[in-house]
Amino acid sequence: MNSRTIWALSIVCFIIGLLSVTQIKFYEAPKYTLFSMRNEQLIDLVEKLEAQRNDLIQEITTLREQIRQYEESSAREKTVLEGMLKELNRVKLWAGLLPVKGPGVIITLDDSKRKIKVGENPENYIIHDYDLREIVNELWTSGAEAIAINEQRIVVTSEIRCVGTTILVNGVRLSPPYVVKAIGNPDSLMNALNMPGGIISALSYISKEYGIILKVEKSDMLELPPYEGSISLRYTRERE
Amino acid sequence: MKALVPVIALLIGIIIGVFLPIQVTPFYARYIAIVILVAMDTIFGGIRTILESTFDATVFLSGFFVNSLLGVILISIGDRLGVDLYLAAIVAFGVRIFQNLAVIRRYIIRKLSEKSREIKDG
Repeated sequence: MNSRTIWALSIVCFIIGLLSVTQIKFYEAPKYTLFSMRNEQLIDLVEKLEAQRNDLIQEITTLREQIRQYEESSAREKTVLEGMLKELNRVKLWAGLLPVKGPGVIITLDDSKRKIKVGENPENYIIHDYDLREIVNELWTSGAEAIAINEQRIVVTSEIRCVGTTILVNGVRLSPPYVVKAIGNPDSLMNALNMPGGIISALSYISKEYGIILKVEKSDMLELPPYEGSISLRYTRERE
Repeated sequence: MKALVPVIALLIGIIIGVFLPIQVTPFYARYIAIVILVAMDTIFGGIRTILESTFDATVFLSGFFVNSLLGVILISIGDRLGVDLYLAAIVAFGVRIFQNLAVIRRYIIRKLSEKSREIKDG
């Protein structure tokens, strides 16, 4: 045998080996073993697959149940959170941290435009911080739910005091005219203010005598701004 | 020793085939089958011509490639006509393999009997 013979044989042998293995691999691939299986084997396989499928269905049911539980618990958390937010909103509304609207009364006060007569006390011609305090106090007493003076909302820490010729509310200097807006039952607020011997009757007397401006009127729709100052507490802590 | 080279080539082919990540589709499986059959036919034919001392490498290899091509063409024509022509190719090459094997068998038997006669005579 010469080398040409050897090479020729080797090439064909190599091709036989390569292709045979490829073909064997093809027929041994799992998807084609079905063709060569006998009925009993196939039945066995089907049963196994059915069992597997049932297991998977069981798993799906369990997982769905879990998802449902998670959803439920998240929904519960959501309702709790919503409740908390609602409560927070209500408290903020009560505390004067939100802009509010509603029916109520408007009291307008202004210094007298008259010339001060000689020998008369100029104090009688202007609106004082105690006038406003009295009014606010009267309004709270008669069931006002929200009060603002010149767009300064009255909250638990609000002060009303005189600084020189102006009145300080929430640390903001106000100048006349002073417009006090109060949300509440307009009729009961009105009645309380007009009580004989009350603040309005006293002011109307001063109004007549010295010319300060006093106007009290009901309103169907008042809009009050929120308190805009700081609400941080440096010393107060909750008691355990 | 030289006779081992084709066997080694066969083993190399098998090893490469095992490790080569070739995935055959069912469509091409029949084409490969016919090529394998042609190759086997060629090998047995080649062994026969070697034993008859008429071996020609050109004839041998051209026979392999032309027969393979013919087998493949037969299959593709059969697919288009809806006739399993590849069965014809398989039968033809199968018959040839058996014929070649028969010739080889007779040759070996003759050689062996010649040898035993020489021994007897000697």
